[in-house]
Amino acid sequence: MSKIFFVLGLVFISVLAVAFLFPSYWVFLGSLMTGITHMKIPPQFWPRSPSLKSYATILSQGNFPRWVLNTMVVTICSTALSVSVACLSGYAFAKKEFPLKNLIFWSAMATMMIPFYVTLIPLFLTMKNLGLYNTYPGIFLPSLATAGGMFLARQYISTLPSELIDSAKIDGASELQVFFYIIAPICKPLIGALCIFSFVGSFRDYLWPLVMTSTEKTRTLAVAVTTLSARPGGLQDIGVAMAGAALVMIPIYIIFFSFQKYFVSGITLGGIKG
Amino acid sequence: MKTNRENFLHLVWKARAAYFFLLPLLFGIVVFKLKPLVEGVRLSFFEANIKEQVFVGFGNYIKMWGDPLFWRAMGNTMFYVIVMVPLILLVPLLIALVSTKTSRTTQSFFRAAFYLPVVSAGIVMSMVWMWIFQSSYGVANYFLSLVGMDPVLWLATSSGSRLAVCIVQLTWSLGIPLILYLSALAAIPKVVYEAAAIDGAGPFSRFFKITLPLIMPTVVYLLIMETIGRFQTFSAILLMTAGGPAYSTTSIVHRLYQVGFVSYRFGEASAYGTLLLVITFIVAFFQFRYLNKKLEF
Repeated sequence: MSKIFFVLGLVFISVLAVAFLFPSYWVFLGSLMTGITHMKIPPQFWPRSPSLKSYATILSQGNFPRWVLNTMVVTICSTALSVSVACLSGYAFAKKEFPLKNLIFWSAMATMMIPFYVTLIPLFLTMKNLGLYNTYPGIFLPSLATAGGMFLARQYISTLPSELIDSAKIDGASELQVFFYIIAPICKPLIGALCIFSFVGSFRDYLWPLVMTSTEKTRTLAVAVTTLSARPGGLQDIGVAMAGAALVMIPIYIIFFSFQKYFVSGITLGGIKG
Repeated sequence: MKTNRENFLHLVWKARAAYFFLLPLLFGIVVFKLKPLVEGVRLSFFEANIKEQVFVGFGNYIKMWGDPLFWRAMGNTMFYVIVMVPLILLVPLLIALVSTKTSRTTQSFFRAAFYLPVVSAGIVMSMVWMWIFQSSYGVANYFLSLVGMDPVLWLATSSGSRLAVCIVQLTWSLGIPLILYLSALAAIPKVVYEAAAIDGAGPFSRFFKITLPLIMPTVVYLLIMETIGRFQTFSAILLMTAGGPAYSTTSIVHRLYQVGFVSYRFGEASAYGTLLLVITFIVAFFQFRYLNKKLEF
């Protein structure tokens, strides 16, 4: 009896898994097709005459190098900022005692419940008033408020033996020396997980860079490729749209398949959304 | 009293290093979370554009209340919550229960398959879905025709596009619940099941009497987070349907975006934001309260 249910369940989830992987495959397939092959019925499930023309169309856009540069600057700055902030504060909450510790900790955690969209307009106006509209810091500075990263770091660092810190202090190490020479080196798995989450999150971020940028000067890749050949409600050149999508997805997939373990441990430790 | 305060300040001074470590995070939270939050609520009482702000009291809320599009957005959002939350809670649980009975490799295949759409950028994925759901040459209708079903006008009709939004949103919503369920299931000690098997418990009573109560904290956590999250349904709408056709897929957040960043009526958009905040509070409050009571058997 339960065997039958298991087999039925396995069939169901296998079909579902294939359906979930299908759109990703369809992106890469579509990016290799040109012209009207996208509109053939029955569809081609395998590229019969693959062509890199759509990629060439995007890469030959005068602004393509600029988009890549913008994405690199924004992603690296926001990753560096959020990871160091998360580790510093996570260490304080995990290993230090200080007045109001619980109050500050839970207040910081509560801010994770604030819907981002509530802060979208005021944040936009603040950046505009600070003269940061259409600049790199305008895009990456909000990643300072990384309560989720702090929680992940706290969970990890609180499992480390406190004797390490005590003995370093007895040897005369200062607070900063303890952090940089004792804590940071043994936190490599933590830092790795935080970097991956933050990197992927910032690389594919769309809404904030969209409202924060007005010109090619700061536009990121994810924003640029969607405006290239897609309009709300429709695609102009399917091949170009898919090649653009693929250019955003390839780096993400490389990171995902190389560091899958980190994603899993990150989610189970902190419940962070990837 | 005085000595108490001196004592407190002394403790603060002694722990100054800890505050120093916290400073960047607290600065970030205050400037980029709390200040915008307060500012957003304040703005909802003003008529505001990029240049000026005029106090209008509850004017924006009255305007919102009288706007038929607001009620469309509310209705659609409720639809998204009611359709998606049960699926996001149940389907990953089923996947987790079945895949834990398979080999480790199969299990990691399923985990990767359902997590891949989570890391793929939603906005980029919605481009491929526009192609898949194209009514004449999209592959979705081709598959339907293979099983003998009539083509669906996915993005051209209100019911079709609402369904499309749910499907697309679901593709990137199952991965995280799945990983959380898998780790919750892995934490249940095997001896519990062995004892139950000796007592002659069947698979169904094992599930309802042992598994479900033990993973209840995960279920509750997901219920709260997903209900709040689905009230914010947006990313599948922004590019794929743009709220259409004829506003049939627009949601609260999509209205917020349209009113704020297309029409530049920041005050009215902030009223939508404040409403979203209130909904979030109510959902969190009731679910924490009600479910906490139910959990203490």
